[in-house]
Amino acid sequence: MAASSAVLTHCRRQLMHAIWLLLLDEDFRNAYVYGIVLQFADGISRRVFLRFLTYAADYPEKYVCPLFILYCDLTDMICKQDSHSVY
Amino acid sequence: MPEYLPSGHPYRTRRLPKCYRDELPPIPLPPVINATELTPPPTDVFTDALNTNGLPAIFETQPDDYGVYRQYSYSLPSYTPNEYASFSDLCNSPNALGNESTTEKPGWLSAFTSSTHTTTEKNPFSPFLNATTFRLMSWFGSGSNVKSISELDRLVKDVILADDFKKGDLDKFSATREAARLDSYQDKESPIFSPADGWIERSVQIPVPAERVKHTSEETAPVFEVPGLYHRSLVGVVKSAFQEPVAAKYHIAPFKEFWRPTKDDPPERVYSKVYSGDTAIAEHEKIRSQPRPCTLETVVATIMLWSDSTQLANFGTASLWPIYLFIGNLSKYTRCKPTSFAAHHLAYIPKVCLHMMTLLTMF
Repeated sequence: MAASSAVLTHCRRQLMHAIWLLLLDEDFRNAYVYGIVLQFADGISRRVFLRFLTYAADYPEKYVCPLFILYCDLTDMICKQDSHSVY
Repeated sequence: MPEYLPSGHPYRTRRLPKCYRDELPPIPLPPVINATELTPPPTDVFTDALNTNGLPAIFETQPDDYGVYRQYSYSLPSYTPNEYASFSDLCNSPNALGNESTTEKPGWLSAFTSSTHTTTEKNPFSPFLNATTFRLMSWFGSGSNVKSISELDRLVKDVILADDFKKGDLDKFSATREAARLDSYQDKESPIFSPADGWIERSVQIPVPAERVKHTSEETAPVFEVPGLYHRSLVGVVKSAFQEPVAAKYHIAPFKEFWRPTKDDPPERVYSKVYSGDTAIAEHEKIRSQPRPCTLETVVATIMLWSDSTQLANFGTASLWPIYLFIGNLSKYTRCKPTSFAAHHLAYIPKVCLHMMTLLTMF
């Protein structure tokens, strides 16, 4: 019994979601909210905030990318963060 | 040469027709802040600079030769990259006049590797045994694709003339064997997806539907494990991107760019880069204006993601499905040059169809 194309599409979508949830790990969430301190080419350290600007993907299983779901979470995190926290 | 021809006429000055003349424009100079526009003087670039009306202070740079200038709001960046230090930074032509690019070029493998990690000393001709077989197989794998194994065997005679050619290395040469050696190459010590470069291999679990079976929730659905995902830490990749030589050309603050052909013309906004767009300016301003105890200057690293299934061969079905990113703080003119190696590979998505087919027949 072969899987229908709808089932395969569903599975690929599940896979993409699972991979993105893996990539957007705790480290990334912290870097998104609090930034990471990096040394630049001129030797000066600056606090770098990671932001996704574009995402271009070409595959038929179009869906709302988990990035947007995560963004909502992070916006909540930023709103709720303690203004006196050290970062 | 005499000034006049024997006939008494002067020599004609010969000039290349205009369409063949390649008059190179001057290299744009790094922007210089227009001192007269500063309100108030930038005593501290990190503090809010507001003019007397309570509006954000505007800092404008001197227009370049084309009449293009930049406008920064609130504060000036503490670092501005000099992107166009030489002609090779502006173009990618082998015939370009002159000097080398100002930044060191990483190798093609840099997209896979982490700049924080240096590979250990090993056979530079790996997987081949020596310079001789490497030369042969490298020739075989490049250029025209009409070569054959027997042609390669024939080449042995021609290559013998190379200066570093060692006849002894070809005592038991067999192109088939060397090709097979490349096919079955699995370097256990330093694989392409090296853990030292931050690559992690793992499997991903996904809930799958089973035909003619009802489950009360997604949690109770059978879980299928998809093996073979290679990925790196997103934060690790960005950190490594900021440590590469090309990071010297990253813009740390977005700006508006304007074009005013002459002083009497009204300025026209130029939209061309990630860091001269309104989205980047708004995000930069949002982060900059957040109160925080840390006094370090804030920088927005704009990440641009791609994931495309990529065909690897003209014939056949070999393909890869990578997720890769570019840092938008780098000028698109540098970023889009393949030789700038500005792409950073984040993950390789496993092929799922065949696994899934076999799985779904199991339930």
